[in-house]
Amino acid sequence: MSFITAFGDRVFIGAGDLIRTFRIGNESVPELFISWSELNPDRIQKPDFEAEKDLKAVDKKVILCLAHSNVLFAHGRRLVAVGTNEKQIHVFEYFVDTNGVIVKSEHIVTSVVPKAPTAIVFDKEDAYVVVGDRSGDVHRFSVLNGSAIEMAGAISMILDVAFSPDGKRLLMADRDEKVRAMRYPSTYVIDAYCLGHTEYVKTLAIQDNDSVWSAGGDKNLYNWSIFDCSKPRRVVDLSEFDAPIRKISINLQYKKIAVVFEKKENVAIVDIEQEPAKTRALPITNETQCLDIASSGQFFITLGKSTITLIDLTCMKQHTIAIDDELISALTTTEDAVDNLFKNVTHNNQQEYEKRKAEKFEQLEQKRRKLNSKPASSS
Amino acid sequence: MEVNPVSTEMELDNKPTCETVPGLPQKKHYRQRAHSNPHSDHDIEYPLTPDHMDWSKQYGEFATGRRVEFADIGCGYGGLLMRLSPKFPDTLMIGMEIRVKVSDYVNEKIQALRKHHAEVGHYRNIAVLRSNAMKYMPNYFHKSQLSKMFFLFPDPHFKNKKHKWRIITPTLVSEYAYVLREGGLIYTITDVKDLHEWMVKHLSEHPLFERLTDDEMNADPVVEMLYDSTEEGQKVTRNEGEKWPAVFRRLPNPAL
Repeated sequence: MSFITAFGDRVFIGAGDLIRTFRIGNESVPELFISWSELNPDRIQKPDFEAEKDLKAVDKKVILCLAHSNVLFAHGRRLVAVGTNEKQIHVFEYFVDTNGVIVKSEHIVTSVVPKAPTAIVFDKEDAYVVVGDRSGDVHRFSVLNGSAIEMAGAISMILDVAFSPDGKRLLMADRDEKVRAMRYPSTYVIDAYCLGHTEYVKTLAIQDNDSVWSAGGDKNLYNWSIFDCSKPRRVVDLSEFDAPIRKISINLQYKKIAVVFEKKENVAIVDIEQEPAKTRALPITNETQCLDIASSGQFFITLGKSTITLIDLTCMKQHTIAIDDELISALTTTEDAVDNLFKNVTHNNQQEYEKRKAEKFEQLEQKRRKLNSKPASSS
Repeated sequence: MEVNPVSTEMELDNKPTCETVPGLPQKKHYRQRAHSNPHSDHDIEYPLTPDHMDWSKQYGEFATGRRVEFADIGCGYGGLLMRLSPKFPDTLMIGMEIRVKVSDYVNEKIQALRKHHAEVGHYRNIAVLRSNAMKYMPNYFHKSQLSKMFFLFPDPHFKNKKHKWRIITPTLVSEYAYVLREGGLIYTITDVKDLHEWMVKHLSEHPLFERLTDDEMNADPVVEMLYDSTEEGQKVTRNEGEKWPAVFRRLPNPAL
C-alpha cells in the first residue's frame, strides 16, 4: 500500500518503506523525509502487550498507514505518524524555516501495536495518535511517551478512523458495513451507528461536526448526520465507475469530494454543493491505477502506481510531479496488505445443515416404518 | 418502564417431553460442539438496519406493536427463554445462538410448544435467531431498545490469548450499553470462577454499568432462574459445581 497526505503546501508520501516529501509550488523531486537509521533507540517502546512473541521479523518494512498532525495552534507541532507491518507506530517531528523548507526532522517516539495497523489519525490537539487495526481494535498512543490505551473495538477489521473537527467524536469504519460514532475521549459511549452500506466501509471524510461521508465496497458515496444517522442523508451512486471505492478526500473550500477506485485510473470529482451531486470522471495523466488522494488548498493530490499529480480545482487542470526511479519502484511493487475486503463465506452452514437434517430425519422415519412393519409381517 | 413478572395461574411444565408435547424435538439429534469461531465470515443473514428487521417471522402477529426487550446472548438450548416466557407473557424475548443446529433445535422446540399451547397462546413471546451477537447487535436492535440482556454460562475461552474472544470485554460492553436502556440489566452466571471474576471486573470497571448489591439481586425474581433453567446450569448442578451469578445496571450516559 502507498499513501499520500498533505498539510498546507507540504505533501508526504509513504510507499513501501520510503517516506518522501515535497512542497506544492516548489516542484523538486520528492526528497527523503527521514531514514530508518535515524530512529532513536531510547524512544522505542517495548511492547507491553502479550503480543511480543507475535512481533514478527519481516522481510521488508512496509508502511501500512500515514497521517499528519492537525497543527491547529500557532505553537502546534508538525508531526508525521506512520504504522508499519512490524506492528509499530512511529512519530516524527519536523521544523520548517520561514520559507517552508524543512530544516530538521527527528524521531519522536515508536510504539507497538498488538495487530497490524490499518488506519491512523491524530486527535484534535495532536496529543495522541489513534490507530485502528486488523483485528478490530482501536488504540490511542501518546505522542509524548508512546503509552497505549484501548479505545474501542469491533469484531471486524477496522478500515478507517476519523475525528469530527471539534475533536469530540471519533468515527470508525469496519469491514462489517458499519460506521460507528463514539464520544472522544469517552469512547465507551457509542452515540450512533451509520447503517446502510451493503459492503465493507473503507474510507471516511469529515465535512463538519455533524456531517461525515463514507464509501467502500458497495460503490456508493453516503453522507450521514453524526448525531442522528438512522439513515443516510445523501447517497451518491458511483456504480458507473464499476469498481469498489478505495479512498475519498474532501476539499471543504471548493465543496468537492475526490473519489479513488480500486484498480482504476479515473478519479471521480463529486460536487457536493449541487443536489443531486454532480460527478465528473477525471482520468489521471499517464496513470493506470490510482492508490490514494489528499486535499490541500486549491488542490487534490493523487498518488498512483507511477505518478503523483496535482489537480487544480480552479481549472481542473492536472500537473504531474516529477519523481525518481526509487519511488516509482516502491509505488509499483508495493502490494496492498489485504487484497480482498469482501466477505469470504467459504461454506454455507445453514443450507448444508438443512439438507443434512432433511436426510437424517428421512432415514429416521424409514427406520421407524421398518420397525413398525416388522410385527405386522411376522404375525 | 420496569416489567414485573406475573405468576401464571398454572405453572407451565418445566420439563416437557415428546410424550407430553407432540412434535417436541429430541436434543440427541441436535448436538453440536460447543465452539464456533465468532471472527470468521459465517453465512449469517442479518438486517441492514433494525428497521429492516421483520420480527413477524419470529413472533407472527404477536410482534405487531411490540419491540424485543430481552435478549439471551448465546442462548444455547433455550432453557432460560422457556422459563422466562410465562413470567413475562407480554414481553418479546429473543435468543441469539451462532450454532446452526442448536438454534434450529430451539426453534423446533418453541414451535412445538406454541402449537401445543395454541389455545392460550403460551410461548408466542419467545423466539431464536441464528446470529453472531458479537458482530451484528446494532443491526437488530435500536439504541436503548433492550431492558434485559442475559449471558448464561458463556464460553470461558480459558487460554490467555483467547480472552479477547470472550463475550464480555470492555469494548463489547460498550456495544451492549448502546442497545440497553438506562436502568436496563445485564445478567451473568458461570461455573468458571476465573470467568466470573473477569466479567465482574470488566462490567464493574465500565463507566456505564454498576453491579447490583446482594439485596438487589435477592429482590429480583429473575436471578433465581439463572441457575438451573439452562442445560449448562443443570449439568453444573449434576456435577455439584459452584455457580457465580452477577447482575449489572446500565447507568445514564455522562453529560456531554
